[in-house]
Amino acid sequence: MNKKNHLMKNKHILAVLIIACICLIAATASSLLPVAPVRSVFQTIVSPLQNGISRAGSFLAGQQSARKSTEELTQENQQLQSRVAQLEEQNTLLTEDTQELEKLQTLYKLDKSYADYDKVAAQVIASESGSWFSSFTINRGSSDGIETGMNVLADGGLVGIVTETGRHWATVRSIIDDSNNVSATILSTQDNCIVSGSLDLIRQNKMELSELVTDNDVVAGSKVVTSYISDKYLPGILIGYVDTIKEDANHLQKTGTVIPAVDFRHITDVLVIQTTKRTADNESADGEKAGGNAAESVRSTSGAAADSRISAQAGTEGTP
Amino acid sequence: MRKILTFSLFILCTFLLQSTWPVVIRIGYVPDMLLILVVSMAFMRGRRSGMLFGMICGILADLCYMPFLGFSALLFTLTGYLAGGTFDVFFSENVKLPMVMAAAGEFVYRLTYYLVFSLKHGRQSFFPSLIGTMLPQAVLTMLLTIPLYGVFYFFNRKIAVHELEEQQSPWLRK
Repeated sequence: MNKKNHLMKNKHILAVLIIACICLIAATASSLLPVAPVRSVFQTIVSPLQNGISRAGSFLAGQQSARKSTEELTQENQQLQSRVAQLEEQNTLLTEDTQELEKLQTLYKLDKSYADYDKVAAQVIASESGSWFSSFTINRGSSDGIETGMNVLADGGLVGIVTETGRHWATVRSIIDDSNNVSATILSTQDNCIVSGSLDLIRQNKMELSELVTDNDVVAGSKVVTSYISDKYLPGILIGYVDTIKEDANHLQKTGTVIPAVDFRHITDVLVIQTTKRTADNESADGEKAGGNAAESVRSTSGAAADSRISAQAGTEGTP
Repeated sequence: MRKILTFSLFILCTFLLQSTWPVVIRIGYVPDMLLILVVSMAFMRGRRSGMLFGMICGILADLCYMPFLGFSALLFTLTGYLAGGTFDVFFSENVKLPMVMAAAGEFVYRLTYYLVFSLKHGRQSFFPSLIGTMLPQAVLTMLLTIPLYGVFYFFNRKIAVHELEEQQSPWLRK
């Protein structure tokens, strides 16, 4: 009797808990109950601890990898020497390119490339339990000037966008996340398209490219950067390189895949750009107004439309 | 009181290890240590503990990165309940059973995750994610059960001895 009673009680507890869970799913999925404040409090408590453990763990992992044999090191040295020679050659080429780029940029009035923005370095301290860094926590927060909507870079490429911040932590959703779309431009042809993350493709280290409407021949290896018309991402940040491209069955648009510039399996340090798209637009609008040029101030109606118009005009100026 | 404190510490430590694992150990797969904790506790202490641990660990897992709360909590609670069914039947020295249960639990968890979140986005390739994610995760979780279960078993023994003393001397509590 006692045993039976005990069993019934367990079943009742199970039923109650299941109903509670279902209610919780319904309430939070339909955003009746806001999750963000709870999550924020929770992250504030655990992020210092996570920070400590990550640092200690990385330190220990580093210690282990420091013990390499001399043979490996000499071999690596040889490789690096040849690599240095290669890079020097590349460097001279790139310097020339940079000079050319500077000229072109002044022409395009794009003197504010993303290299000029203020950036904050941050370390990844925790990640979603999965093999890819599709969303993760960093050890810098609002006290270091980080706000929601700021762009995050690593290895010179776009990683993602800050979605939540606390005093000493921030959550970043990366561009490979399933729910993420970036409005992008193919650099060589200046055609706009959409780059979106996909759980399936990221296993092959790729992302989806879609809605590319163009007659130009886009080849594999073309650079894909963030576009002017994006309202979240600053223009001109490298996303990756075109891998494959094919025309849709309806012959209206092209789709394909993009190889991201960032290695999303091994992110340790990131840079957060302390300018969001919105503030950048305001600044450029103010700057133009301060210039006092009447024709320019008409154009500077802030926002993405103005940006694209300026580039369009510059483009037509350049064509003849 | 001591019991509650120890168990809270258990859950917190496991959760911290779980969330920092992908940053420190970069093998690409993350064993589900919270699930191991749930299964171990259910196996050593019965259904009620299993459900309780499942609920708390599940909510922690949800709070960390799920888009909404309750998904892991539901699955972990069910896992705890089912795993707790073996409490009366097997001795808790046996490590093989929690290994199998943890692997099965992880597999079902990942499968449900796939069904809910991948199919929501209209993707259909099932076998790549079966071989690429679900099976390796389940195997890794199974392997990690061996050391973790040892740790949990050791501490649970200490607490169980303490509980037994309290039961045998009820007049001391008054």
